[in-house]
Amino acid sequence: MNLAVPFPFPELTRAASAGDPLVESARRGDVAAFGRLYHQHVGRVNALCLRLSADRGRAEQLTQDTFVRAWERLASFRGESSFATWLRHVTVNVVFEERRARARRERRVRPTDDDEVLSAPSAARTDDSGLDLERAIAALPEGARTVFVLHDVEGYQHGEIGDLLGIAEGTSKAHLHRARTLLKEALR
Amino acid sequence: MSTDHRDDDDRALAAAVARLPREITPHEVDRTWSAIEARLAPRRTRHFEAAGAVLAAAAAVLCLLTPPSTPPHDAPTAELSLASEPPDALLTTAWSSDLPSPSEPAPELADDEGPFLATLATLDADFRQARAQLPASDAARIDESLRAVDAAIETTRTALQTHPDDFDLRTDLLNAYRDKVTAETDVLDLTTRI
Repeated sequence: MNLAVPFPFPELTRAASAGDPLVESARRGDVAAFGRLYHQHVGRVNALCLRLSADRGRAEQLTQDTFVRAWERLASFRGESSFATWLRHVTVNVVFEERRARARRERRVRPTDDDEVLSAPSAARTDDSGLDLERAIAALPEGARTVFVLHDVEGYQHGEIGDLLGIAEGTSKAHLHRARTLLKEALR
Repeated sequence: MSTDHRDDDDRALAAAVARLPREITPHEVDRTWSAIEARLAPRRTRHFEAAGAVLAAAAAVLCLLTPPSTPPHDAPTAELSLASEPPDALLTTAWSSDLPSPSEPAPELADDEGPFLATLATLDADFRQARAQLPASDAARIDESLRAVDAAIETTRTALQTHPDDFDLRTDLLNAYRDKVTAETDVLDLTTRI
């Protein structure tokens, strides 16, 4: 019987090849194994949440949300990338989802690729320390900060960032240029 | 600003970024874990493993049905409950009695699910017929696996009610449907070929 929905066997069998025994145990519902994964990866997740949100309290909440989401979705982890890479993707999605929900709550429209955002004044301009890159990143406008963290710190490509944020690739590049300019001024 | 200065600035920034710590541990790392642990629901769905089990069951069917002395129509059917179920009970295996009923999908979710549900409905009669030809033990294994796939579908649908904008959840749901279609098609292919 030949139906119009052909899907090859390998797509199904890849699932079992995640590899890491801890990941495999967690996939089977072992909370203790997931706890060990948490302790291995929480630093990376929290760092990403902190840099994207620029808010310590929100970052810790987002870190919690990320691990809860990872637990819920662990069955879908097929081992096609490392667990760390998969978890980073989960983190970014959780952060952006929270951001969209917050924007809805605030009933405020603020398009990411708005010129006003790109030209918004930043505390980085007047940061006398010039050395505290973390603080300078936190002080960037949200769009510029997001693209800088994803591109320069996490290694995402502009196309991927565009897809994640729902903006054009050129807009992502413009945000990055703006972020780098502000940060270089802060570092001087 | 000269090009040299710009290059120096770029290098300084790149170096500073490279020195950023890759990890920043939360202040209350253990308390954070406790809060997470309290939010973890028992996971009962592992649809990808389940789909693998369906394939294993299908492979077993292939082995069992190959010998000419074991024609499919002679296989025992007494224990096969699905074969006697009403024909309009499409996707009967999708919602086992110990699982919550499927919740109403959001309109746009219904658009995504529609083609899969239509395909599964098309498959249903043939799948039941093929399944009825299987030895009871193999049919039971396939049923068990499909129930796990169905539980994954329902869990993901439920999660989508809370996180309607989550693209990954939506992808997971459609992948689960895809796995179910694949599994049923594979069983049909195997029994048809032999």
